[in-house]
Amino acid sequence: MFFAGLAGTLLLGWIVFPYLIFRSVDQPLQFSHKTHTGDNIGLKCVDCHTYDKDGRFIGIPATKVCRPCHSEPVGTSNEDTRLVTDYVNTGREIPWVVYSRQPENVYFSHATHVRLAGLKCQSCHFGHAYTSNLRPARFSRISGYSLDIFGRTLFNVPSTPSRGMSMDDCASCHRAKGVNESCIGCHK
Amino acid sequence: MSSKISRRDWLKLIGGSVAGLILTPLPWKLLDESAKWTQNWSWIPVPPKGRINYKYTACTLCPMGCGVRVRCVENRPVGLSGIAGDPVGAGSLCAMGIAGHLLRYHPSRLLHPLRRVGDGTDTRLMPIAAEDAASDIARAISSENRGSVAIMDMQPSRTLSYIYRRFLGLLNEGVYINPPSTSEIPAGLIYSVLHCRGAEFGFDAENARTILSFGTPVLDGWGTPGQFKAITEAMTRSGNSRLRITQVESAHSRTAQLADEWIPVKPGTEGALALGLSHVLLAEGLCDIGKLRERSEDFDNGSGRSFRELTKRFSPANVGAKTGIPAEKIAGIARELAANKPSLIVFGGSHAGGPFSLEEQILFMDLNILLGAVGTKGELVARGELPGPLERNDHLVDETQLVDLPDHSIKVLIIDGADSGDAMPWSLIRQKLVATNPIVISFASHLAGAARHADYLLPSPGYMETTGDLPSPASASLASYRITRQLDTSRGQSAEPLEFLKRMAAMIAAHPDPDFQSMTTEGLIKRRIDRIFSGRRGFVFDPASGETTKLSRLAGPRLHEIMEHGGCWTDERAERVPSMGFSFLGLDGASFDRIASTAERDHGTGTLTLVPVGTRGAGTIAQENTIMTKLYRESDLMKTGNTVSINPVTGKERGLTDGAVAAVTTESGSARVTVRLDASVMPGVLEASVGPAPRSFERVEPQNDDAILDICKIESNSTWRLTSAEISPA
Repeated sequence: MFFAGLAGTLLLGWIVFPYLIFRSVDQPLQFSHKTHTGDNIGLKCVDCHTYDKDGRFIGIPATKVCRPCHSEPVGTSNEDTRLVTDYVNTGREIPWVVYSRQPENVYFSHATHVRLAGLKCQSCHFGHAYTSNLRPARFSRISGYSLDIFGRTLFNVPSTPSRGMSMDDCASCHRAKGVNESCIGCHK
Repeated sequence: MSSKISRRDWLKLIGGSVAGLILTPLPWKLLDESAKWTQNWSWIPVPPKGRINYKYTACTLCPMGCGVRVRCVENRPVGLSGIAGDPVGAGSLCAMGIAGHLLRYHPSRLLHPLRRVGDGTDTRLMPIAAEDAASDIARAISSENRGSVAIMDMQPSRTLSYIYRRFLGLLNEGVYINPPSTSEIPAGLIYSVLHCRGAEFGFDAENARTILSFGTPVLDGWGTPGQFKAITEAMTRSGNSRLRITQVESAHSRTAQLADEWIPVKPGTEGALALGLSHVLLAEGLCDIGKLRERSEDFDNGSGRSFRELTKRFSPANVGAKTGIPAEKIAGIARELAANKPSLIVFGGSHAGGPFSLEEQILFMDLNILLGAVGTKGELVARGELPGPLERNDHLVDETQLVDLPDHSIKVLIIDGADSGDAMPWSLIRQKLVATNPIVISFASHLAGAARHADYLLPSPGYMETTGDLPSPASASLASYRITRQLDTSRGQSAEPLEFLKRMAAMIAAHPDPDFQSMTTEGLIKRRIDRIFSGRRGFVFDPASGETTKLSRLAGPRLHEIMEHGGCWTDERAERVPSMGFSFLGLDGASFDRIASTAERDHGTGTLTLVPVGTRGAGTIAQENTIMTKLYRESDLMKTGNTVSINPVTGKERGLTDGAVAAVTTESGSARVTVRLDASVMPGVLEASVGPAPRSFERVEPQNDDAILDICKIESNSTWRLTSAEISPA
């Protein structure tokens, strides 16, 4: 009976709990980064995720960025058609669900990290640029924070930073590069 | 075979489940998530969303004026940090400054004028219309009652200070008061000993090779962060240029812990130790006696009442018995000071216990003279003059030290709301007020410090809510100047002190002075910058570029532009101030006996000695920001007010254990305290923490934050460093 209880809670804690604690939110539209980057069209991250004239990172591109190539559907999928009819032609912005929205008490500058420090996008976003589909975003039912923010795994072992954008990840990278890691560097 | 599940099986199942549970992320993640959930409660204020931008200004929470880089969301400051290369702050901010922008939301923030009503100890603060408050105060100023109208300026030499002096110049009996300062070398002392009138001196501690600090927190908030950084770097240098610090203090303070050597002197015997050191320097010929004799009339004049005669009474053996320091150690310190020059004696005093008496300060200055430590690099140096926006002939009243003011002479006292960094007993101020119906007015942004004793509280704009300026820090060896801009809107019904004084001037005079009525702070600051520009001296630091440029290479408009955006002007090293001679016993001929009796007095025989201890800003609003709250309340790294540390031996004698509640009684009253047993405290000494009282951060109107200071004895020379006391279980 001891092992039955042990096995039951291990199953609950490792398999069931992660599904229960996070809610999944689908993206409003599917998008293939893979199609647009690399050997296909060959776009680079900064071709769409640009900076404004003051050097401020714009983030997810507006629909007008898609318009030059997507004024008409370029494929046969429903997503291509919806992109054009629902958004590009109407001028509406796509309500993308952001995987990496930081909490309100945190400040993060792409300009500082990418332009000044020379970090590659993959350093934090990993293989996102080569994905064929947009996975559902997962948010904690308790805190409301994105799973990507506090790590893709549930356990954060300090010596091995998780593949996410948690404070531990920021701190370990700052430490490794000998950069200031004081509280006010990131927190408002 | 029975399939019945026994009680034992259930227990095993539960045991297995619990064991399994702790091996899963479930409990830990729930804990983590719950903590994050608490950050997102709807009523918790969050920074606004908007465009992030940076501005530069200067911190006004203490007189140091560190450069601050302000991270703003649109126009709302959300984060503060130091500015790399800043000549004052050296890129750092203290724990108080780093969260200064949050003070505007503190519960003790004053949002509308208040008036104290009630009698005796049963008083409370009630809202009052600004117009009514102004009428009441104008009536009190104009009344025929005996007494003067005074303004106590907690951060002298600002442009606002000149405005105060100009306003008082409009009155018949206006008095402008400087409070006691632990950073400043009093002008009276400089004149009395060095015969330099009008010159400001600072400690060039960062360029010394040996520092002997008498009870001054050289490594714990005394000077600017830039000085601290330079001093600590000098302490880690190798070879002959390494700085060595010896701390003379009864308490095992943070400076005592960080210094190369701690000399635990009996409280109140510092003057005797200074004379003992002088004795060794003279007896062993470690100073230029011929030159000293030539330049001073009271050094060795054969009258039997000269400085040299005085030192003869203080042999190391005698001083050792008095101070508790072995005679050989005293001789060793003196020899080291003579051998490793530049040597500097620092003697500001402590932020909670206040400055030393004038007599003790004279003895410390004498040591500096014997060591030749006056005038050049690494010594006591004269700062170049920082131009003011107004001149004396602009009807300014003179500066008066609080110490020099007669008792019961003030009928209306206006207390400036800035933070001097030093604590001060209210009883010291109270004894200067007339006995009948004095009125105390406070221009403060928060109900803290002296403002808690005011009859009228007129809220003034807080940190970053107004334009102002910061003159040279008192401890600094170089003159500097910077301004602080309004970065945020002012809260509530805050009013600029200048506007209130203009209203007062208009109400009390039939024909208000047009010059005063047309003054603006911005205009006066511009005039001050123009005067600095016309001097063509020094350097200007631009925080936006991080570059320092010689002032002579800048055009006037560019200087104004840099200064308005957080720039800092720093003077060049001043020429050595020619001194005609020295007076080792001061210019006052009667000093010999006073100095001798100060050095010879014996403290602590039979009773305990109460010594107030605390850090910069003790007991004022600066101690009440979020990070200081953590330091005091959550980490216990700093002791809250009304905590008394005693040696376990003293505790045993008085029947007190660690954490016990006790009553400390002095001739001035009694205070309820919490006892901490600490073996580093000298037997017979009560180290009483001055600072925020427990849970004072939650109270809108703290009542007993300065209970310790209230029971300190105010000596006739206005010091409160030592008080005979008793402690017993409450």
